[in-house]
Amino acid sequence: MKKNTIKFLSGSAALGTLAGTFLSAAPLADAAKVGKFDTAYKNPKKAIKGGTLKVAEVSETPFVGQWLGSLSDDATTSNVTAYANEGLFWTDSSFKFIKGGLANLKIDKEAKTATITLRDDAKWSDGQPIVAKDIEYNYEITGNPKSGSSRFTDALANIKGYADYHDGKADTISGVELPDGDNGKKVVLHFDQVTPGMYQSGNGYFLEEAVPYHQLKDIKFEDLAKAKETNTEPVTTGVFRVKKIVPGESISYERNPYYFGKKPKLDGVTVSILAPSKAVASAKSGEYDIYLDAGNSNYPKFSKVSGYKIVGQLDNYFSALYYNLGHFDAEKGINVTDRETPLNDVKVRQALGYARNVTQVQKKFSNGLASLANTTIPPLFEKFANKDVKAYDYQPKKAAKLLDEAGWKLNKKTGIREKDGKKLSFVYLGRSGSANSETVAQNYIQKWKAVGVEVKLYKNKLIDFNTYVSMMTDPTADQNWDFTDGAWSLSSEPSQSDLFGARAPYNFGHFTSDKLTSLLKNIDSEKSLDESYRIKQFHKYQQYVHDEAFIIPTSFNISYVPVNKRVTGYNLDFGQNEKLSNIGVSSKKTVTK
Amino acid sequence: MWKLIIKRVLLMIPQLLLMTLLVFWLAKFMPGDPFTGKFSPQLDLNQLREMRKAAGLDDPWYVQYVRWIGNVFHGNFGESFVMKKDVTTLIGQRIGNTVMLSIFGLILTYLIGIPMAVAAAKKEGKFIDNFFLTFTSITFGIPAVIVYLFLIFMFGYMLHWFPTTGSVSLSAEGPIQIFLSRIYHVILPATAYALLGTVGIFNYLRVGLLDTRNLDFIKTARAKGVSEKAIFWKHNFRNSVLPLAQGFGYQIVSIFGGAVILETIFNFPGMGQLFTNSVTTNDSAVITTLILFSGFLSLVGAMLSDLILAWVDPRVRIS
Repeated sequence: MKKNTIKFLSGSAALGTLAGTFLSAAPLADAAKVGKFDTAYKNPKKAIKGGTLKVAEVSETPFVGQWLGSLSDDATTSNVTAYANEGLFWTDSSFKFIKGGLANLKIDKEAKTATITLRDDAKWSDGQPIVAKDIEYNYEITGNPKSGSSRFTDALANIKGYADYHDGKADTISGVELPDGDNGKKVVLHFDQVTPGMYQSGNGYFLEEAVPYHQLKDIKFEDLAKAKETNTEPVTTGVFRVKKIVPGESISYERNPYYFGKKPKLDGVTVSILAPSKAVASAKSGEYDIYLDAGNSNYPKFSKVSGYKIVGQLDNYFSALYYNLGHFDAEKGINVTDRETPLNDVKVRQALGYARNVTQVQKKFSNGLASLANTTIPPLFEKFANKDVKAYDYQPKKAAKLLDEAGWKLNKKTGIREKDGKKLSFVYLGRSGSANSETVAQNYIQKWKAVGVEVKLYKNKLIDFNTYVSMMTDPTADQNWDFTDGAWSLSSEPSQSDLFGARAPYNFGHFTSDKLTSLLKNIDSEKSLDESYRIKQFHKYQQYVHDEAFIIPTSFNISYVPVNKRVTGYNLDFGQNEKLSNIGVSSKKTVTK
Repeated sequence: MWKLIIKRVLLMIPQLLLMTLLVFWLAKFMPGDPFTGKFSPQLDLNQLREMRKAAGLDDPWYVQYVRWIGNVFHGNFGESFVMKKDVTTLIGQRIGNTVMLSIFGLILTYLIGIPMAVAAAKKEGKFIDNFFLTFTSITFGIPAVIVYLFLIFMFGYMLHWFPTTGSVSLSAEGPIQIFLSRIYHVILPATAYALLGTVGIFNYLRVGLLDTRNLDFIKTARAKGVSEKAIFWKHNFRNSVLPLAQGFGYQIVSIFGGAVILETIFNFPGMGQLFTNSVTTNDSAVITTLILFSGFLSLVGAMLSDLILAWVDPRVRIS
């Protein structure tokens, strides 16, 4: 089953963010603090009436500006359109669906259905009511290959009849029922099976947005992506609505008078793209109120700019060292753990983990925005993350002991361990992407050498992201590497079958076992509808990942946002469903002190 | 003259075809494709393969080439996989900005460069000559990025005289306001472009003026009693400006090509920035079209330069 928002990170994001030691499980006890950052800015001044919030989206590239979620896979677009786009459902701080949003959700385990009920006063930004057809049409766009959507997955195919619609065998989706007709307020989704992940946002089993059918109905599916209605003249659901768009550059928003919820304090918002090289100078002159995606390398300078408060939040992210233990059988669609390698010995895998000094690397390069990861479940999933699992921290003596126990004895002449006349030597598929990539890779290689393991870079160099992806997605590509780095931005539904399941094409290390399969299945099983059971399974799974060490977790990250001190009510806590309505400004102009 | 034009145009056809072939062939060596960036478990790998197949990326490069060149002849340059728009639409959105920026830049370059060269040549060895020589040496040697960032910092963030990003203000309403806002947005990048672009004009013209003043026809004019002013402007300047005419064809077509570094640093949405972005995102349809366009402009530029030279210098026509 596939989830909705897991995204593989490019080299720069993956390797450029290694650092910091402060982020442990402990700070999570205080919800208002993450590491050294507050998650909200509490401005002592009161908000003035109205005002415009000026937001900079720090990016090298212009935004694509596609307003239909089903046709967009661009994070920058998602950020710049967030002020007018609101999903159907509200969530709590654990990303569980709650009541109160545009629609409420009710899942019936026995009937295997989800009933979506829209509010009576739900309206589009042009004043038209939001109706059941608007929800159904999103499924039709997403499932129709002509629209070019890349979002149809086998998780969505769990809706009855959706795969037939996708394959052109049916004109309608039998599992999407509108009991009160197109203009009704109710949609019933019929599933083949109900899973525990369905109670979490971002689960990928159903869509969480509506589309304005009344605006889009006459546009052919193949023309949707290019239509002005989906690019520059969107009809939306959020707190604000679009006033003007300069394609790729900026958007100005005004209040949406038809918004069902709390009236915003601000009159409007402007969002502009700003090059990273200019971001700090821009802040020094007080050009914008908020700098999104300001970049880790900019953090030390941003932290010294007066007039701004830095707030931070945990990223839904982890990175890890993947061991190559097998191959992906593309015909059968299954991972096979069959590679002949010294890495088959769990002690060798563990030793390589203990030999790296990730904390040192993070201290040097991450500006305090990363920490040593202990599992693959980031700590923002407070219930599911197992805080008792120990991280693979720097313990060279333990690493050496494990290698001794595995039978790899040190040849004092060469400094490299040997067994049966064979050197303990590996190929590291390191990735380029950030200014520090080479230094980090060489640091790891030195540390491995220090415990008697010879490691060489794949083809004696780091490889770029595109080549890396080609190698990972093509089973016929050269697979003569022993370990590599992987980094994922995750969905708010934390199940990891997609990443480490036996059938997961993204299981780069190809490790499978009956135990792992059963743990992953348990997490998504019917029994896990009982949350306490699910939590236990998650904890067992993480302990198993640690014990088997088929991957070694490397980093968790924090993202930061510089906020001008005139801004009021800015809060990065999860589950803030009215956060846009609560933001205000305390003066007409930004402050620089 | 017409013979020359026809000859040059006919010669351009095989040159362009060869270039398209090379571009396509080399593009195949680039790792990844436009779908590489979509890599995520939300995208079923089978669907990724289907999308690649539907886009024709599984075909051998020569099959893709023949299909692409066939479409090009029908005016269809394909669709951007990343921006999900026709390449012609994307270029249409950007070329206006680039043309405006380049024309302003070019006018400023000549407005600054020519008086500088004239002043320096007239006062050879004096303070003003040394000053301009030093200035052009610095602008020639200093990396463009630093000058651009300095100007943005100084005139954008310190003095707040000019906008630092984009091509038009969000608050501009109506065609006149929008037009004026666009001009306001190009002043700083155009000035930056001009400051760095004067070095070529300055050096060619200054050296030309200094060399020409000692030639026989100048001595003859002086012996005939022609005024120094007339000698300088009618004889010396007109002859010295010839080398500039040689590069003028390139200058004209460069108006459409865009400045990659300038537009990227200024976040100016023109052709140069489009090229940078398409390379970053591996957007092959855009890359190939822009390279083809750029190659076409170079060939046209070379032809124009030859024609301008033939027009201003009768010796070229005769030869």
